[in-house]
Amino acid sequence: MRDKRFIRRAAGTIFANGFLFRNPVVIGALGMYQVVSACYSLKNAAALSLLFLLTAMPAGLVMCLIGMALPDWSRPGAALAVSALFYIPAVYILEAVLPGAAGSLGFAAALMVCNSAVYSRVEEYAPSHVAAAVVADIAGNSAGFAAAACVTAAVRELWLSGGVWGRQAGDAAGGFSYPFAGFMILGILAALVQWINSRRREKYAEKKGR
Amino acid sequence: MFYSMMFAALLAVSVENMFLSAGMGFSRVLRAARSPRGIGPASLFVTFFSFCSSVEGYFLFPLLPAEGEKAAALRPAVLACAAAVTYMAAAFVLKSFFPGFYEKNSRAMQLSAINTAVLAIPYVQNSKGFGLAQSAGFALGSGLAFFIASALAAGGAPSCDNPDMPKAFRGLPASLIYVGILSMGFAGFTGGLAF
Repeated sequence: MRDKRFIRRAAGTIFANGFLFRNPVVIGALGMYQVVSACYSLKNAAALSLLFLLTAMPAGLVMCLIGMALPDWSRPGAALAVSALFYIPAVYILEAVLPGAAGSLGFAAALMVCNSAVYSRVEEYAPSHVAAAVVADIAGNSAGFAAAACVTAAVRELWLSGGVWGRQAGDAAGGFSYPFAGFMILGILAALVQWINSRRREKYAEKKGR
Repeated sequence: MFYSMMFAALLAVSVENMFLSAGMGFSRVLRAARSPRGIGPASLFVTFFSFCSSVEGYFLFPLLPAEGEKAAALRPAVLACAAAVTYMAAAFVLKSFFPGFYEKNSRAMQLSAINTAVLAIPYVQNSKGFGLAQSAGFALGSGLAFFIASALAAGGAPSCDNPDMPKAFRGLPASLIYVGILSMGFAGFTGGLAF
């Protein structure tokens, strides 16, 4: 009972770290290409977030099982190959949920297979952790990627068309849909998360001092 | 042939700059910028793996489905598997024959090989209709573009840690805004979305 509660609490902490406190995009500076280049509509952001989860989760679990059995020099290549393998069903599921999304996202969807945020979870984290931690970590990182992608996309879509979820996936419209706008929004989001983290540290130090 | 190769290299550094105008591989650029001494070897690895990626793309693209769901699913998977095999072959050769070099550079090699910019090369050459020589030139230019982007990011790093700016903006947030401004300049070159 106590073990179960401990695992649940640890999983919660791992999830929260991936989602907010160590967000892969705005704190880890990982997986930025998809966010800055394609997240100018909420439909794109949703499609990419789904693709992230569907690729990273099974690939992470496979690497959790076999990762430590592989020699160090081959692990990065194996992680990429495993991600590539699970990218195939991920695209079919994405097409069933959001028809036409994978095709219209073009490079951004295709390059999700080597997204550095996916890769870091699958190659660096998964092989050295137990399955429960891997699931919590990938779920947290997927939620963190989705949050960064959706906020960036919502701001840009609001600016471009005055509403959200109205634009077609892959429908760029100049100006704010260019990557520079994505970088700037990510910069502001990163500052916000850094501020939250520093407030958290201060509160913790206060608690400890009492 | 030489001129078309050099022209493709020039494109990769300027108007078709994958790093600064499209934001590809930028997490790797920021990592390389943290240790300026490592920028050179990382750029050489990017050039080498970009070249391998362009050759793989040149031979594999015609064999893969061209349109539809099948293309969207299979092309990235096959090209990524090819990149994985290339990485493993290079790592095995270096580890077996140059263990000292491998130990010193394995991390840079890994981050340079498994990179959105490197894996994007076959798509770029396909969309621009590049031949093998132009693809090789584009790969060479991409290595140089990586070097320039990393050097610019490393050069801006001290300003991004300026203690006069609000604490929350110091470090990565300021770097991202700085990169955004650089990218805005390149958007002026391209006059639109490059990729």
